[in-house]
Amino acid sequence: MTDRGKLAEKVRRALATDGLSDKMWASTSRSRGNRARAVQELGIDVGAMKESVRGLKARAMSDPDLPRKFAEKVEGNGGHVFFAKDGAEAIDYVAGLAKAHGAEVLAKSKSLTSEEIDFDHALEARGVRCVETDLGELIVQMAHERPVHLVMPAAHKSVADVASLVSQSLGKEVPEDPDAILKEVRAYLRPVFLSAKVGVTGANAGIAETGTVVIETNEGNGRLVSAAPDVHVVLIGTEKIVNSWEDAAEVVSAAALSATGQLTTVYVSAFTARSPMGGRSAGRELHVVILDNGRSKMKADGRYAGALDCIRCGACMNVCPTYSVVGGHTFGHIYPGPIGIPWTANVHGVDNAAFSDLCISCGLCKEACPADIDIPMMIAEVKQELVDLHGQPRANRFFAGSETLARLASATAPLSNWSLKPRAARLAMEKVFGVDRRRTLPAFSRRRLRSRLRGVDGGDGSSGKVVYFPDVYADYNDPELGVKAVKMLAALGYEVKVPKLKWSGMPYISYGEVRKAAKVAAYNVKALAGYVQDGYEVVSTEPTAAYMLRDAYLTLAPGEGSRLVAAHSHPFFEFVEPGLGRLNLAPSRGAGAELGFHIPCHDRALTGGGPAVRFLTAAGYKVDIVETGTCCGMGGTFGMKSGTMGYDLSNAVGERLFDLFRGSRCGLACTESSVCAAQIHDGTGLQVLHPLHLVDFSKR
Amino acid sequence: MASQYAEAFARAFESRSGTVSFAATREETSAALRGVARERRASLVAVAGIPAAVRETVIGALDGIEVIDVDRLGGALPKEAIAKADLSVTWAAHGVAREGVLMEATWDDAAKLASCLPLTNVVLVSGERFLPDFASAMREAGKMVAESPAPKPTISFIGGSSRTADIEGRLLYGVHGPHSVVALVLEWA
Repeated sequence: MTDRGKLAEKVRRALATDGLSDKMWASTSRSRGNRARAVQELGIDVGAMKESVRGLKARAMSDPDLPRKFAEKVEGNGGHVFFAKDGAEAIDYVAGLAKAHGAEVLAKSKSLTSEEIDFDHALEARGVRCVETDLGELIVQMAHERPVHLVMPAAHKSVADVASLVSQSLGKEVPEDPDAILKEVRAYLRPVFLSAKVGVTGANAGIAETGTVVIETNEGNGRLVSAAPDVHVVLIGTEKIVNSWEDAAEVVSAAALSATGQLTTVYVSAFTARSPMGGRSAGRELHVVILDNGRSKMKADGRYAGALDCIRCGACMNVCPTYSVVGGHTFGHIYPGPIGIPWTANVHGVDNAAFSDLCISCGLCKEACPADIDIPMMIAEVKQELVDLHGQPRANRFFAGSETLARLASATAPLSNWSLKPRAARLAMEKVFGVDRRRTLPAFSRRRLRSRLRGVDGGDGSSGKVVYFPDVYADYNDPELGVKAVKMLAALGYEVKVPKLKWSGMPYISYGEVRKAAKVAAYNVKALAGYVQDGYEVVSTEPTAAYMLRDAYLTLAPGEGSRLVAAHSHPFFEFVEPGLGRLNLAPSRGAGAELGFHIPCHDRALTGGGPAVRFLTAAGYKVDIVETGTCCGMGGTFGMKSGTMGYDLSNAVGERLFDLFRGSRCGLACTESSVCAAQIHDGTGLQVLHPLHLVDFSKR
Repeated sequence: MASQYAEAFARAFESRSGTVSFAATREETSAALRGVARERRASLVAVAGIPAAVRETVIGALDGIEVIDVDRLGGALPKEAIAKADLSVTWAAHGVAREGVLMEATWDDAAKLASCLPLTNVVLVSGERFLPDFASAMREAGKMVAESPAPKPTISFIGGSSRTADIEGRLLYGVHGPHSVVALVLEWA
């Protein structure tokens, strides 16, 4: 079986495992909810937080001497420092310490860096037993599994699972009651804390100015592991070292908020030197193992250096739609989730990062990341590496060429539309191209947008000048949408141009064709920058296109041109909103009709759906935002692909949203994205329309 | 009269599952400590890190209950002795208003264990030692560490009871450390 075949099989098994998706979804939804509530109730400026974390990380990364400075301070305070170039060196060092101190058992608090180097198993192989003391880590250790999530290692286990594991491990019957389990675990671990000669912790930050290590826990196990044993070993990746206490404070706050919606974890410990125990200093030692393990290589590689800014909060996992239904044992190697993809590719090898196929390019991970890491683009780069190594699967090739296909289908419509209807034709398309026969495909229009615009008033320019960017859908499938957009812009006094451009190129990113995406971006940026310099603003009705222009092109086509285009590009409703007072708006579907509104992922970072909702409300609709807090599951064309790694997984994600739509009283659904519309329609049977198709307008 | 910061701290700390009491006098302090000890049926209390000006009040309040004086333990096996305590009384250098956390500074890990091991931890903090937020507390902690001669202090921020949500996301208290944490704000100290 190929690696891709193995991944599909893992996904199939995960979706079929009783209760797994529900548990993962419940866990990630809870975390999303807690974070959103905290941000709202406490008035946290997320943008400022991101900027601050990015800034402090940039300062740290720009100083190649920072790890050495940190090490010198640790040593100046009496600690020992060992620089490990890889996991084997780190393990050798700790195994040596354990032997020197006669330690057969190590008490350990949660350390993702230790997971990265398979620390526990390697130590066990040398006769040293590591006892995980974080409850979640202990549960997965008892199950001989890996953590399913960075912050919630046992999110996939039920109370019954945990009771059974604890019963087996402790050799006594423990009831299926969380309090009873907790009592047993406390009683089991207390002697471990008190008798272990060596304790191992990770670190959330290392502070170079004083040589201080900072760790965060909610359970307090980190405090015990770092205090009770005579020897304390800290395993810290080079990327965790920051300049100052102020910087560490930012990291701690951002991690707690993003992970669980807390302002800080219950315990934040900062230790600078080994303290005596009851006045006794003899035998009390602090060892800091600073691990590279591929980090220097990452830092030197422009594509992945940003991944080193990760503060391990797990927020990217909590918003990831596919992770939320399959969990980290499928969506991960050792590092799970979206950020796990670039980390895995760099520290465990790109072939182990083949789970990148589970990324459906919704972009929510970047939005959620407190360090503003461009995770989607890094994932695209990993996919490109895998395509270069192993080739592109047939269905991905088909959908990566969507624009060419659309041009062909449009040129041959209505024949192409008719040919898509018979069951035999859909079956053949599924067999040959990998297009799922159950998916409703959009019809193509013989006359494209520019042809339809002949004779349409292009506006007098009294309010300014606009380039309308239709992307594929409003050009080939629904040019009437483009016509309405142009008419509204003209009614608002804009002179509108629809120049010949390429599509936005998003599917190239989705399917790991970054070089092709960069060519498209360069072409569009060159063309659009010229218009912008002539005073035009760029407007698109497709949220993905606006996202590409405003965000992705900055990376794909770096330079002044893309910065200019990004600064002058707008999602449609954000752009027209200030002028809506100059229009009469009326609902085309009856005043007071109730609409279920879905916010497309790519619009979340841009407008959050607000301008479109206000537009519909101003026209007289009652708008009910129907949201799960993550993607609808379609992921561009991902949900059009056949089988597990397409339609099935897409639907497994979408089911949660479909349930909400079914539970709402809305007889009509609305979204700005053409592909979200297809997903919601197929999942619920509701008619789903673009806001412009729901509103009649005229000049006041 | 509690400061604005102390009051903000109390609200935030209680929202994190902690309990806050204010004591305007030594007598109120004694009464509060006796009350907690009685309520928790404490038979062995670990006392650590209490400044000299307050120490007598604390020890006096616990009259009749066996006390482990952690700062003077000195000899062998202090951690096992502390582990036997069912209540501890410790000292915080600062309270932090916005986040509702206490900042503990210890120079001996036996004192740190006093706030880690017993099921109930009473943390005393001067009413005049409150800081507005975590960022300012970290700055203060950094200054304290940088300026302190060896041995450097260990700083612990404590925001309530030891807790976990690792079993189906249910919030459970007292997994390793204290099941309950009481902040006693001394307005006289």
